[in-house]
Amino acid sequence: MAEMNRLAWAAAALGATAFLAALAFTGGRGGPGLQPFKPKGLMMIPLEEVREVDVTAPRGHWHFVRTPEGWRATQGTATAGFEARLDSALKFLRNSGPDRVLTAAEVAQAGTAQFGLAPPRLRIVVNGRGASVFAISFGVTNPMGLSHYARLDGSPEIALLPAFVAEEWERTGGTP
Amino acid sequence: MSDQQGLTDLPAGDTSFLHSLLESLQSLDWINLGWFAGVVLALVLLFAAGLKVPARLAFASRMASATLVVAAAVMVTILANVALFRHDAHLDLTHDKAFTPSAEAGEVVRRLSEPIDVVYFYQKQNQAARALGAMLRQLERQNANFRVQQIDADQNPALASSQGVRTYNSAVLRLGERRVEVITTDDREIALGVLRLLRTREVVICFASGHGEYDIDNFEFHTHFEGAHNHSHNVSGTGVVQMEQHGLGRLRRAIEKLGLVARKVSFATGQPIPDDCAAIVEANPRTRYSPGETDVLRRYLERGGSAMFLIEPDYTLDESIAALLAGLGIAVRDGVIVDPTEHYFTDEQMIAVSRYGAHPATRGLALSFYPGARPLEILAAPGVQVTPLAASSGDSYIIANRLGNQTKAKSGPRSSQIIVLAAEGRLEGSAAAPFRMIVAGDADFASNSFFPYLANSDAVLAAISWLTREERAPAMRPPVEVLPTVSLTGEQMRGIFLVTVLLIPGLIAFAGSAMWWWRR
Repeated sequence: MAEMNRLAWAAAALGATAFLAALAFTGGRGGPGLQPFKPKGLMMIPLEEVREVDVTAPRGHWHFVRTPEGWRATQGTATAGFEARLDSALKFLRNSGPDRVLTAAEVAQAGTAQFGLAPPRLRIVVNGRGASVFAISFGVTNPMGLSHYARLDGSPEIALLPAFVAEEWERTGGTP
Repeated sequence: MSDQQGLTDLPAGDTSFLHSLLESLQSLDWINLGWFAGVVLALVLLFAAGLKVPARLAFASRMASATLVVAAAVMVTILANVALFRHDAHLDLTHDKAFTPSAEAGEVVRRLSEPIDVVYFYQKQNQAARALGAMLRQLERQNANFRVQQIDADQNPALASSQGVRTYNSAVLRLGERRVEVITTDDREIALGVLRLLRTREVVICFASGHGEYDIDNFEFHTHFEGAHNHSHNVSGTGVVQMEQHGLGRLRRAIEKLGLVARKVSFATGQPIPDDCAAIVEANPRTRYSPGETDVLRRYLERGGSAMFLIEPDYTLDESIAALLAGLGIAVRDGVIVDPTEHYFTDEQMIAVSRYGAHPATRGLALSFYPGARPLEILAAPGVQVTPLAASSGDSYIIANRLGNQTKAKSGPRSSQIIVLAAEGRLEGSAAAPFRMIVAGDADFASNSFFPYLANSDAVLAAISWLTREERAPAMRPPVEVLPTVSLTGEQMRGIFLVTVLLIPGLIAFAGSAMWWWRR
C-alpha cells in the first residue's frame, strides 16, 4: 500500500513537472528580451555577403574589396585598423533603422534642395553576392543635428538615419 | 474665479460634478455651435423635403429633370460644406480638455492689439506637438492679430535653420523686430511668451539678501506627510522640516517666465536701492536690520518705491523697521495664529483663506493657505491707505508659545486676525511719489514648498503685479513643476498598514507554524 502511495506521488510530481515544462515552452507571448533581433536598416544585403564597398566623400574616393584574407583597399589610402571601422559601418547600415521616412509627397512639398543630397555629402555603394547592389546617399543633418537625410538610389522617399551611421562611414572614408 | 469661490460652499461631490459641467459648458463655442446645429438642421429639413416632394420636375425631358435635381443636390452639398468650414465649432470631449486652449491663453490672445507671428516648428510624429498645433489654430481664430504658421522641422530643415531653431517643438514668436523662442507643447507657455514679447520695458524684481532671507537660487523644498500629529511647522517639527533649505527658486522661475527680471540686492553696503528695482521683496529675514539699512529702505519708499515684506512669526523686528512700518500704518504683532475653523488639512496653524479684502491684488483669487502666520494690525497713518488682504476666521486665537500650555489661549477671546495687508500712500507729506507696500505675517506660503499649491502662486504673483503697477495686465499663472502625489484618507492608510504590516507577515508566520506542526 505504501509502495503504491509513493508511486502515486511520484507520478503526480512527474505530471506536474511535465505540465510546467509544456507551459514554459508553449504560449503565444514572448518577453521583449526573448524576441529575436531583426535588423531594421535600409540595407538588406547580409553582412557576410558583402563583397565590395565604394565610398565617395568630399575628401576622396575609396574602394574596398573583401578577400579571403580580409578587407583590402583597391582605391584610396587606408591605415591600419580600417577593417574594423568598415565592418562597424556596414553593421550600422544593416541594423540601424531610420528615425523617420519622409514620403514622396512630403519631399515634393518641401523641395529637395534643402536636404543636401544634390550633390550628396557622402555616397556609399555596397555590392553583395551575385548582382545585389545597395546604393545610398547622405545629405545634411536635420535641424536638431541628430539625424542625416539619406536617399536610396531610385527612391522618391528620404529617410532620416541616426547621425552615427553617416559618421561611422565618414570615419571609414576619411582614413588618410 | 468667483465661480470657484462660490462652489467651495457646496459638498465635495456636488462641487466636482457641477464644476466639470460648468467647465464643459464654458469651453463650448456657443455661437459656432449654433451655426453648426443650424446647418445640420437645414440638411435634415432638405432630406425630409426630398422624401416628401416628388423629385420629378415639370420638364419635357426626363433626363433634363434628373440632371437638374442632381445639380441642385451637389450645390446644396457644397453650400453645406462651405457653411460648416466657415463656422466650424470646436468640440473637445476629452476629460482633461487636451485639445482646448486654456482660458488664460485665450484671454491673452483675445486682448492682443498688435500683430504677432508665431512659427511653430514641430515634429509630425509627436502627438503632444500636434495637439498644441490644433490649439494654436483655435487661438488664431480668436484674434486676427495672432498669426500662426506650423512647420514640420524635419521636412523643412533650411527654414528651421534660418530661424535659428535647434530643438523640436520650438515656437518662434515675433512682434516687429522683437523675437521670443519658446520650447513647449503647452499653450500656456505660448501665452507667456506672448506676454514677454509685449513687454516693452524691463521690470526688475529685487530680492533682498544679507539677512539670511530665502534664496532665489534655491529650489529645495520638503514634502509633508499629512496627518493629525505628524505635520508640524512648530518647534517640535524642526527635526523634520529644514526651514533653512526653503528657497524662492520656484517664485523666481515663475516671474522670469512672465518676462520679469529677478535680481538680488543687499542693504548691508548702505548703497541706495537701485532706481530700476520696480519692487523689492524681503522674504523671511533672519537677522536684525541696523538703523542705517532701514534708512536705505525708507529713502526708497519715499521715492515712490514698492516693497513686499514676508515676516515669519519667530522673527524679532528691530525698532527702526517697526517704526518705519508704523509710519506706513502697519504693526507686526507677536505670536502665532491658530484657526480651528479655516485651516488646511488637519493643521490648525496652517491658515486657509478663501475670502479676501477688496483690492486689485486679490481680484479673482481662489483658496490660498499660510503655514504658521503671525498677526498684523492696522495703525492710523495720515496720507496712507491700508487694506487688509487676507485674514483668518472669526474663530481664531493667538498663541505665544507653540510648545506651552494652550488652554488659556483656547478659552480666551477669539477674533479674525489679519495675515496680509497692503498699504499705499506717501510716506511723508512732501514725498514725491506714492509708495506701495505689502506685508504678510508669513513667508512660507511663497517658498518652494508651498508656492505651487492651491492659489498661493496666484496670490504672490498678483501682489507683485500690483507692486510693479501692472495690475491691469493679463493675469497668467506660469506652470510650476510639481511632483505627482497620492493623497490617502486616514481609513486608506489604516487599511494599507493592516495589510502590509499585520496581515501578510501574520499569514507567513501562520503558514510556517502550521507546517512545523504538521511535520512534527
